[in-house]
Amino acid sequence: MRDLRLGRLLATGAVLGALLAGCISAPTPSGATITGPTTLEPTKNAVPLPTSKVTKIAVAYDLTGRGDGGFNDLAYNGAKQAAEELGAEIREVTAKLDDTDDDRAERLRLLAGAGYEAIIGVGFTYAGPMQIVAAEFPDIHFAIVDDGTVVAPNVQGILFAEHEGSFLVGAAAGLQTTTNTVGFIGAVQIPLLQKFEAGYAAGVKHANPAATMQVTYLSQPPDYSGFGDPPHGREAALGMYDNGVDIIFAAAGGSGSGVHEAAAQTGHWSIGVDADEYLLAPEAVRDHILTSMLKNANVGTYEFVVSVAYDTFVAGNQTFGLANGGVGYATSGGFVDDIRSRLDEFAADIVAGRIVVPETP
Amino acid sequence: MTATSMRRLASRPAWLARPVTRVVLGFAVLSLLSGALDAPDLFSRGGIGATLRFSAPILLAGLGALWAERSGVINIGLEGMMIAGTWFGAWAGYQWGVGAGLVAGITAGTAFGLVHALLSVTFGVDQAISGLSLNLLAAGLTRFLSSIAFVGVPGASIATSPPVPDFVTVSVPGIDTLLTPAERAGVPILSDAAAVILGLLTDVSVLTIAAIALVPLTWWMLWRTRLGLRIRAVGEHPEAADSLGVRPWRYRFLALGVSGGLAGLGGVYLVTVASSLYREGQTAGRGFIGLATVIFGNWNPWSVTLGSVVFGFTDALRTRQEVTVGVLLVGLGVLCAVVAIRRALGRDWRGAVLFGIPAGAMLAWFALVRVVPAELVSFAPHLTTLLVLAFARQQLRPPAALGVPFRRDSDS
Amino acid sequence: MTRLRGAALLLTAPAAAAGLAFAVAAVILRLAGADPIATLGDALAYGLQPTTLVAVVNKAIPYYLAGIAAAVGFHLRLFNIGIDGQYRLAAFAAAVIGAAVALPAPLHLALIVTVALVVGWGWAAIAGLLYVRRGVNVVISTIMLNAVATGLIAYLLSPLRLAQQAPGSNNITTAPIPESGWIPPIALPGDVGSINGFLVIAVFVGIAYWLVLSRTTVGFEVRAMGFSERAATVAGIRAPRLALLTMAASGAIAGLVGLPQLLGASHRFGLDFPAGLGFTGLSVAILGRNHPVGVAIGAFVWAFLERSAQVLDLAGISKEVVAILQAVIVLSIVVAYELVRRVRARQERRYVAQAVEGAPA
Repeated sequence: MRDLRLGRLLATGAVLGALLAGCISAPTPSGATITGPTTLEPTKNAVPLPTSKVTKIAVAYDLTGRGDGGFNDLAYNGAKQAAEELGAEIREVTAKLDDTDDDRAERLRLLAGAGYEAIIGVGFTYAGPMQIVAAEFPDIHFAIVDDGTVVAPNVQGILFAEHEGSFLVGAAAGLQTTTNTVGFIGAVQIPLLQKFEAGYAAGVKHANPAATMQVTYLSQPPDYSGFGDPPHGREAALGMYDNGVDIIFAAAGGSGSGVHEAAAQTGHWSIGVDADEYLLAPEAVRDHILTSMLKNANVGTYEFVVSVAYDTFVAGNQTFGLANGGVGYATSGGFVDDIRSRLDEFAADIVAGRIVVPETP
Repeated sequence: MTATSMRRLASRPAWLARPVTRVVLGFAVLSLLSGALDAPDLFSRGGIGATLRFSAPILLAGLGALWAERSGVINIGLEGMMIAGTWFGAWAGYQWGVGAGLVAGITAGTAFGLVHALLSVTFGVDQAISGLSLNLLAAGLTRFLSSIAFVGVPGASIATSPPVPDFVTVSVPGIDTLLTPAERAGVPILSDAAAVILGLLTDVSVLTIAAIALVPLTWWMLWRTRLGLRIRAVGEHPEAADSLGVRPWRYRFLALGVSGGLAGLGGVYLVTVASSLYREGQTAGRGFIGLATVIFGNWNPWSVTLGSVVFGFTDALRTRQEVTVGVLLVGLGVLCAVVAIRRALGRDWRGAVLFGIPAGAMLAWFALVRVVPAELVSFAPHLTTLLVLAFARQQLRPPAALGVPFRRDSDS
Repeated sequence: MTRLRGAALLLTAPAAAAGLAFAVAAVILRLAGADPIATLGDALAYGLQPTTLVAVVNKAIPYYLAGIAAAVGFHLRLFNIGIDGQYRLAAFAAAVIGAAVALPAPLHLALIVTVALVVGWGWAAIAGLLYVRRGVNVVISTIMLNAVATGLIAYLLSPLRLAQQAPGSNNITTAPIPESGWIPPIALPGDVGSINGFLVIAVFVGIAYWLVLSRTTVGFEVRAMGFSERAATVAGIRAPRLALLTMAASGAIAGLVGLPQLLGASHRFGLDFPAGLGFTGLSVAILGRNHPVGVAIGAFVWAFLERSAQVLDLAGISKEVVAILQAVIVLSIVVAYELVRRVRARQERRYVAQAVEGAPA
């Protein structure tokens, strides 16, 4: 079949490419400024690399797919960077709302069967299917993002301590608020986003015990429209600003643009999520983005692919938190420069275990 | 108590029956409640502004449905026409400006409307089926076009367009300075009234004004011109119209073209005013809600507007401040209690119980729990529309030939 | 007109429709930069593999049930857009109750199915009652009730109430249904997988649908009302009672739509339960022209297209091509049937005219 021939061609190319890879410098993932207690950049190898075992990488998305400028894009970027360094091919596949576990399993199965050596499932809906397909293809390596229930020798769970990062931006909000009222807008009321809410609330309370918080979610599952509804995001934010809130954490995927717009419109502040939204937002809006809660999905996926390529793969759950730079807060724009030291103190406290951040509100 | 005096108690004074009085009374009651329950956002400038922005796309879809249905064609494809309007409006808008976006969006919607006409009028396909299929087509087509046109463009992706410029907003000069003191004063009812007026007259997008202007325009065109008369005739009795030389297919094509164009305009509204880009799935069922307002509005434009506002208002409320939905709930409870008491006084025990139970439940809930859970708030606009529909005692009068494909005897 | 000619004409409709649809698909594929013949060939080859066919049948079972539910309503021109809310609410209730009791196998299953039937029936009956008593159009009430159902499920599907969240997982599900409540799969020879046992019930539903429509008084009344409301009313058939019955029946069947997934695969109701099957049901009913066998063919074709699309994704072609294909197929079929109907009518008129002319004066 065509695929096999192409695969062989790529494999040859990959060997050559891998040998050259050491000489080409890797750009920082997605151009985002990663700050936090440690700066984490995917390691650049100065010595010639051993043969990469990965020639084809696949990323399978959950319901929301790419294009949100945030989480899914970051996951892809990490894999893409690894693909570029390794000279490997990368493929993305999307999901549908009426997918059953069988459909998702088939998707993974097709990818594995077509020779993709590193397969990443983005989202918890791939947990059950991956458990099944990983057993069918013991030589293929899988990773699942945002889920820690898959147990198999060839599966890695890529988890993030979103609550820890959210604590920091919550502390930032608590310290910078002038009205002692802050807000949280989540896309869809699911446990994953409630982790953000919980961490944020704890951070606000810790930094500013007198502050109160208003919470709203744009939609309820299985209506995932909240991930892509800027109008509702904007109106929700305007509603909060009208009621005394001056800083809103927008954990709302594609709806976040509406929140940032509202912040710019009313002269208040918003906080971005996943990526450094200061760098992504249009000029008129970016000066109202206080900071962003960085969920460096790209680091997780990059590390996974590279580990498969160079046989350093470790099965089980890898948690990317404050300690290893998996989450953090952005400083672009300089709006949190005056409180950076305090935020870094909190971060150190969390890493040391002196502060325990809740995961549920 | 004598029978007469009881009857007098139970009977309704004439002035209470007039719709205007009811609206004013309702407003006053809700305003007082919002003050008592500390929910200032029920009637606020921002809330009214949000109501306009939520209602306008639904209104445009509703007017689109009205034109189609008045000519006798069910247009379930409004959602698809709106989607087409959003995509083409954004695609042209980000490249060549708002005006181009406007034209492109309306044209796309009209094109879909004409396809619907072709299928249902010329080919006699069941109108609901053709509408549903167009929705499918629009969704798939726009995603496909996005993969060609948006992927690779900075700031865009397969699901979003680059930012689209907005229309200007206008305000009535002077009214801000005039009424803001009243708004801030905190006087019950009057402050809320000032807030409502301010919300309606300041910072309103020109497209919103255009949408509102289309309501009297639609009424005038359909009920005061010969063209409108013919369209309505085709919707009521196409055979009779045909025998008089008014060709049904011609007027249905026209009506569906207008219908699609209006829905497309609604789509343009979504990408320019309501948000500032095309986002896949952003119509979120508004086309269907627009269809609902037509049935809600008994096929006349004024009631369609009312229906859109009811939905938009509750949607704005629950998006901005979820607690305000609680106020509506209490208001509803109060209304039910009033009706229950009146029924009891009129010895209508069944009616009294029928309204008393929900009244008691709602008021008890609010007294004990005070807050409506967020998950349940999410369907407040839908439930409100449903309840209003269920309890508004009206004789629905759809166009007589609605949904029936016109076939000349010689054809079939 | 000979029966052979009639049959031939009846077959040209779907054949013409399929031809048109594939022509459109070829154009779109070309636009997307792919080779239509090769792509369609690959998809077909994949689709005709035994394992895929088994998966397609499994996928088609809920589509079929949704199609029958829609068809029931279509007979009286009642568009049950609420199938989505009905089946999710029914599946949720069935999952909760099924997990809460322990009964011997056949009883447990019967209980779960009964719960699903009753909940679906009840939810649709609300819309039916509103229609009959207050004249509220079914399209609106079902759309609104879908939203209400979503909110209700979201409220109840919470660890605080009726659901649970496994540690390390971001999914919330109901408690698992014990094995006595599972539907046994129908094993197949070889390694092709197994068919969901619910197929049996689906076939039964289809037969019952046909029997009721063609052999019972109620079925006759429904068909009569569908043909001509005035004539039926004159004959004493009461429209309101029939409308209510039809909506309720449609809802009851809709309640079964989620059970193949619930009882044959996941055994719990979670955030990842497939949604949107209701709209597929409407399309499938249209394709099958409300005929029990037609709907089955339609469901199979639809499932086949969706499953084959997975391969398209792998080849880098957007899945949207399939979505467009599906829409075009539906449209082409209805247009084709209409044209065929006109041709037949014209031929019949000619036949009658000839017969009349040929009669002795």
